[in-house]
Amino acid sequence: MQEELVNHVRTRRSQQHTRKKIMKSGSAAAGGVLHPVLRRSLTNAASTPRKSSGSSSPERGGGGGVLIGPGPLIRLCLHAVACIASLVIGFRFSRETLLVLVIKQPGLAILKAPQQHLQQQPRELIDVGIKFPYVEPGLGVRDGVQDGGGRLPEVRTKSGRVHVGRHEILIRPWPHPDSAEIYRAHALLERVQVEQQSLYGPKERKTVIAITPTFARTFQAIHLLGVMHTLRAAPGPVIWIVVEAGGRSNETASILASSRLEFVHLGVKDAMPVAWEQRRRMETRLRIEGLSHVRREKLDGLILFADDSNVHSLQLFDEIQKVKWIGALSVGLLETGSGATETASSMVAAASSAKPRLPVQGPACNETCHVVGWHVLRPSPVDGEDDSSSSSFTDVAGGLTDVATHLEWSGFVINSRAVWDEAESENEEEEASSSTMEDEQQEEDATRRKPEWINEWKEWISEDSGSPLRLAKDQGFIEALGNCGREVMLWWIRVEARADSRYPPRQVALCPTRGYHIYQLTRLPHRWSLTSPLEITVPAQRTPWPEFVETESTGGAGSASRKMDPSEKRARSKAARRAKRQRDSKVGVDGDGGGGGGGGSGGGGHQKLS
Amino acid sequence: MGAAWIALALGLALCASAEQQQQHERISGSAGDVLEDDPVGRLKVFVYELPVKYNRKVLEKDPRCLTHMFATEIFVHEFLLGSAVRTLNPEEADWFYTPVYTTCDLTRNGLPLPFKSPRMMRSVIQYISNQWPYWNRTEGADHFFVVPHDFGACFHYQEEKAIERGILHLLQRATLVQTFGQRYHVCLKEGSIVVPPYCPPQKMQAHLIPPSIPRSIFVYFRGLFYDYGNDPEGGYYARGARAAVWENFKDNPLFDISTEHPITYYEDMQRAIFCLCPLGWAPWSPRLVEGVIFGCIPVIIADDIVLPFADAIPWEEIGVFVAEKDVPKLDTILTSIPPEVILKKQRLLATPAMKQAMLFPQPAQPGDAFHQILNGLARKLPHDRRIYLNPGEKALNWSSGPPGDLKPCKRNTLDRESRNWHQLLQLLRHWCRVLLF
Repeated sequence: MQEELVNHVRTRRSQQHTRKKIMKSGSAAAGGVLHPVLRRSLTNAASTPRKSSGSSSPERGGGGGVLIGPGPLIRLCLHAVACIASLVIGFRFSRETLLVLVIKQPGLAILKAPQQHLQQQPRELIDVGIKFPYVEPGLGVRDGVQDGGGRLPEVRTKSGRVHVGRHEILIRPWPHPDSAEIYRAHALLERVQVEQQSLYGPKERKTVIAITPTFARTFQAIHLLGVMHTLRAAPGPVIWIVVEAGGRSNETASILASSRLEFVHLGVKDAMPVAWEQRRRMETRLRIEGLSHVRREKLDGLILFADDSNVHSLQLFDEIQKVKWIGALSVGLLETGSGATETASSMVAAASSAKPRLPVQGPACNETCHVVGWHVLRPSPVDGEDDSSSSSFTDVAGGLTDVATHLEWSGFVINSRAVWDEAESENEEEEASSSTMEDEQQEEDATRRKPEWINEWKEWISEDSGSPLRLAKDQGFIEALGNCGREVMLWWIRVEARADSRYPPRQVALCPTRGYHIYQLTRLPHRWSLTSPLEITVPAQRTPWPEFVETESTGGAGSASRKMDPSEKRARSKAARRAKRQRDSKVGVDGDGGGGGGGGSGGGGHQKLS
Repeated sequence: MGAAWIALALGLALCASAEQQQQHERISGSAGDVLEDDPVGRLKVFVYELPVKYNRKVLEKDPRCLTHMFATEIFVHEFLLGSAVRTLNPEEADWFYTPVYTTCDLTRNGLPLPFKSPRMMRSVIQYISNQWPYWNRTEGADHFFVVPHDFGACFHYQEEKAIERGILHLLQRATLVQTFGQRYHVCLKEGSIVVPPYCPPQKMQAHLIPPSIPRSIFVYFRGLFYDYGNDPEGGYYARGARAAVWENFKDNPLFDISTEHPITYYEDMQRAIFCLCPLGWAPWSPRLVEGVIFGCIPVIIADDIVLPFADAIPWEEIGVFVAEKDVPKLDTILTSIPPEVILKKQRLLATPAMKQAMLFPQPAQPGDAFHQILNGLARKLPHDRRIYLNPGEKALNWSSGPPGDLKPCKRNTLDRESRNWHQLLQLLRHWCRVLLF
C-alpha cells in the first residue's frame, strides 16, 4: 500500500530527502538539524518571486531585494522575512559555535556539510515547506546504515532492529536465469496443474462417444489418423463410432484395428456423393446412423461429433465434461482453397475486406452467458465446383432453419441420454429415484432424467437437414462451452483432393535436393506407399538450395559424368532425349536424365517439363 | 530519563513479544480451531456514544473513506454496533471501544494524511474521560482503538517521523488494532492486534475464476519497484528490496513482474503459484490479503514483519518467507521448494476459514476478520488486576507529545484551505518560539 500512499506526499518526501542529505554529514545533536530546514524554508520565502535555483547564500540575497517590493505590504513581509532570516542565522551560528566548543569533531562536520548540500537542492523541494507547513521542522531519525558511498556515519536513533535509511540494492553477479531452475519451475507448474485437475477437474469422467462419418478416399488416412491420435490421447474412456459411406472399407478397418480404442465400425451402403451439398447431407445421414447405434445400444456418455476433418485440443475433453444435455462449442473454420495460391489470395481478400471477421462458427452469448444466437459462416464447396468465390465462407443471414443446416455438427456435444428411447429411460429414472434422494443424488438425477425441452427422436431427426440444434425446443437451454464460445478448442480443416481428380494415378512429391519423384499410387489409398518402382526422377528446375545441388552434382553422382568430355556428353544427352520422347508419350513428362542419379549431371538447365 | 524509561519498556516488550512469538509458533500448527473460535459469550464490549464529529460527520465529508484500505476503522464500528458481544451496560464490559475515524482525512488523490489524527484522538480521549469514569479507572488499559494507518498510532506517514513521534502518549496503555506490524518497532506495541488491510470483498468475489483454471504463472507481481518521486536515489523505498527484485528478475521468464496494473490483476493472481509481497514504505500490503483470497502463495519479503492475526493464521505454513538480503536468490529459493510443500500450502490457502479471516465482509460472517479481532481481545482476558489504578494515581502525562498535538481539535470549525493557513501561522509561531528559546 505504501507506494500508493506516497504518491500524494511525493513532494514532502523529497523534502525529507534533502533533509536526509544534510543529515548525512552527521550532525549529532537533534536540534542541529532544525536549522537547515528552517533556513531553506526561509530561503524559499525570500526568493519566491525568482525562478532561479537556490543560491549558495540565498538569505542574504533575499534580504537585499527587500527594498524593491512594489507595495508596502510586500515590503513589510519581506522585511519580516529578512528579520527572521537574520535571527535564524544568528541563532544557528551561535548554536553551532557552541557545538564546536563542546564537541569538537562532529561539530566540524556539521559546519561543513550543510553548505555543500544546500547548493545541490532542486528548488521545488523547498516549496514544500509552504505547501505542507505541518511537516515539523524536527529532525528525521536515521539508523546508521553504512552504504558504500563513502558518506559519513549517519544519525543513529534506535528503534529496535529497524533500520530506517538507505539500503543497498542487491544485484547478484552471476548470470540468470539458470536453465535448470526453469525446468524445475515448469515441473512445479505441471505438478500444481495436475493437482488442480485432480481436485477441481471433472470428478467422474463420462465416456466420450465420438461419432465420425468417413469414406475411403485419398486423404482419409491423413484425417482419420489425426482424429484417432486425438482420441487416444484424450483423458477418460472413449468409444469411437466410425460410420462409413460406401460400406465398411478395408482401409478404414485397418486404421481402426490399429487404434487401440474401443470402436464400432458401421457402414452405409450408399457411396459418398461428389457434389458438395449432397455430401453434407450424406454426412448427416452417417451421423444419424451413429446416433441410432447409441440409441440401440443405450451407450451412456457424451456424444462428440468428431469429424475426420476436425482438429481437437485436449482441453476440449475437459471442457465437454461440463455438458449436462446439449453443449455448443465454437469451431474455428480454416479456409482452404483447392490450391495453395488460391488460399493465399483468399487470405489476402479476407484481410483487405472492409470488415474482417474471424472464421469462427459457434454460440453467441449475452452478458449473462446465455446463448442468444449463433455465429454462422457457411462453408462453401472446396471441391472445385465454385472456384470463383474468393472466400470459402459466407455469412448466413436467415432463419433458424437456415442456421441449423449450416451449423457444423462438430460444434455440438450432447448427452447420449437425450437420444435414448423415452420409455426406457423413464424406467431407469424410477430406479434411480427409488434408491436415495439426497442432494447429490438429485443433482445426478438432473443429468439422468431427460428434460422436457428436449425433442423426441422422431421430431428432430431428419436425414435431410438434421441438426443437433433441433434437439432443443428452446435454444436458451443450450450450454455454451469454452468461456461462452470465446475460446476455440476445435477446428475444422478440410484439405481434400479435388473431386474432379479421381484417385490420382500418380502423385508428385517434392524431394528438394534430388528433384521430383513421380510415382504410381497403389490401390490402397491410405498407405501412401511407393509400391511400383520409380519411373523417372526429374531433376529440380528450381530448388531453394542451389549450392547444395551444385556440390551434390560435383560430388556423388556427378563423379561419373565428370569423366566424360563435353561433346560426348552432348551426344549422349541428345540420344537420351530422343529415347525419352518415346517413353514420355506414355508417361506424359518430358525430361532428361533417365533413371537413377544421372539426371543430376547437367545442373538441370536443359531440362524442362512439357 | 524518559528515553531510558522507553528503552526499558521496549526491552521488556521485546522479551515479551519473543515469548509471544514462541507461543504463536506452537499455536500455528493447529490454527484451524483458533480461527473458528466464536468470540460471542467470551467478552463484552461497550461502544462509547460519541458526538458525530468524531465519526459520522467525518465520513459524511468524504465517503471515499469507505472504500480505501484503511476503512477497517469504519467497518469495525458498524460491526460492533450490531454485534452480539456489544453490551449497553458499561459496568459489565470487558473492553471499551471508542469509535473515532482518525484516518478518514483524505487528500484529493484519496490517500489519508494523519496530521489531524493525534489531536482528534486526544480530543476524543479527553471527551470520554470527562463523560465516563471508565477511562480514568485504567487510563485506557481496557480500551481498544482501531488505528489502521501506515504506522499505526505513531500517526505519521514517514517512518522516521513516525519513529520519532512514537505511539501517541495517551494510547500507551490502550490496546491497538492496527495494520502495521514490524517486530522491534516503536510503532508496534506489545499486545497490539495486527489486522489485515481492508480489501473490498465484493469486488474480489466478482473476479473469482474457477479453481480448475490451470495456474500457469510461476511468480507474479504488480506494483512499484522504484519510487522515484519520493526516493530518487533508490535504496530507501522498500529498503531496496523491490528494486532488487526488478534488477535481478526483470528478464527472467519465470517472473511475471511489472509496474502496470492490468484489469485482470485479480484473475492473474489466481493463475499464479507465487505472488510476491515485498515491503513498500511499510512492511504490509494488500497483496497479503489478495494472495490468501486468490490461493496464490504469498512470498513475503519483509524482515521482521508481524503478520495479521499471526497467532491464529499459520503464516509460516501458507507463505514463503524470503529475507530481504536473499532477494537475489529468489528464483533458486522458490524453485527448490519441494512440490509437496507447495501443494500443502495451496491446500491450506484453499481452506475457507483462512480466506474468511482476511476479509471484513458486509454483513459480518462467522470467522471473518471482525471475529478474529474479537477473538484476539477475548484471549487477553481476564485483565490483569494491576491495570486498575488507585484513586488519584496517574499513569499518563497529558502534556507530553509534540506541541502540535496539544492543540484543541478544530477540524470541524475550519475548512481545508483556511486550515492550511492556520497551520502556516502555527508553524511560524512555533519557529518564533524556538528562536526565542
